[in-house]
Amino acid sequence: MYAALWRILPGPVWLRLILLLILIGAAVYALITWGFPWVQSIVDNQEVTIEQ
Amino acid sequence: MSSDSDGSIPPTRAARRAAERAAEQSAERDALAARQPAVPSATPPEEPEISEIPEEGDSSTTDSPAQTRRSSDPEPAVLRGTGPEAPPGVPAAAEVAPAENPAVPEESAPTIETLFGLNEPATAPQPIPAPDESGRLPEPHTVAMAAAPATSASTGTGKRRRKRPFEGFSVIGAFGEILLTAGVLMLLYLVWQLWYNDMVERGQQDGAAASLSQQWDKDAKNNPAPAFDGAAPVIPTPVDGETFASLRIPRFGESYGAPLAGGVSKAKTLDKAGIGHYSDTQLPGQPGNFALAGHRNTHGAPLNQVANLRVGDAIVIETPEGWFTYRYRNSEYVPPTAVDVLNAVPREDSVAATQSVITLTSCNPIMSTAERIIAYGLFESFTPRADGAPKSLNPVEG
Repeated sequence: MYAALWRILPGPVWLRLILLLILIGAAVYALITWGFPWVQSIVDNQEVTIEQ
Repeated sequence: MSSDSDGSIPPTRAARRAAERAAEQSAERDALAARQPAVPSATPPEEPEISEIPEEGDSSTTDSPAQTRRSSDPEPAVLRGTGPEAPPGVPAAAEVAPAENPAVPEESAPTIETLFGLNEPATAPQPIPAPDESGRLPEPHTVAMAAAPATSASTGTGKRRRKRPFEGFSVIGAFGEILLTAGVLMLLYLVWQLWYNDMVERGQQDGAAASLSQQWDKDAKNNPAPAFDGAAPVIPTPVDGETFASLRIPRFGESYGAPLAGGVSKAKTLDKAGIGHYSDTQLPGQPGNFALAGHRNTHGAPLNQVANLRVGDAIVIETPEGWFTYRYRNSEYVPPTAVDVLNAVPREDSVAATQSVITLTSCNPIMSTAERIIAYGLFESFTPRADGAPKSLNPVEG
């Protein structure tokens, strides 16, 4: 699937690399902004309080 | 060139296509191509042939690496097998020419010229001009044709190459890529949770505490509190999630600060504000236990360094009225259900409180829910805001 992505990207190699970096950056930004906080809200297992 | 445009006969596309097809068929027939050495010069009208060549030439050029790779492959024979169909293009062109001529409209000549730079062929229909230009023409044609066999062969590879994604696209391969992606995402999540986000939220909490302090300073100037009578003010019990103070611990860093809100629910307080106040415990400066909870890791980890406290370290609660200074005394590790650490006198049941203590609770070990670390401090003094920040907030050394 990454091979297909590489093929879809237009232009010469350097342009593809730049586009690829932009895509990766956008993906990481989306993960940090929405993805990871959502995951944390689900898997978070921190207990810091004293409770009966 | 100009002479060509006027009398030239660029073929229509259909005509060209037909010519091409004819050319290919003829090419097969022309296995004996060698027989027509003279043809090329005599038949410039190879336009269609050549016009086709560039199209295939594209794929061929892109494919050239693949082709070279192929050549080393065990089965290059298959690819080359296609080659023979396109013989040294010359003969094929020769036969094409006649087919195309009839269909040629005169207007489109320039476009074809510009497209393929094959103006000369236009003269071909006219036998007379042919000879002089033919002298030149054969050269480009032969060159093109010389390339042609390669192109035709490469067209074969080109088709193969276009198929490659599908050949290479296997379920297992895609599955492997998904697994790799999942692994990278998980690593990324850990980096985010354990390092990046803690750093970001730590900064946010520090900033929030600092801006709270400034805000309270401003409020105090605009609306001065009555003169300090020596008794610590009584703070009203905060509601859930309401930020009413901030925690400053110089041992945790000069700029360390964490907003302090009512309640200890993760959703409303601990994951949002920073430190939470057990709402059924007492308030700062009052006899009894001012008990707080905070994350030791993740969500800004306000109590990350709680185990680094040393006896006598200042634990300061900053409120709009001023600063309550506690001094750290000791820690203990308890099971998560040891609620008696929240008693007015910690660990003592039904004993009337005479001292004012602070209790910090967090998880222990870090990343675990097995135990709780409890840090106790004793109330030392209250400093009204009018007097400025207390010395207990000075940076600690070592």
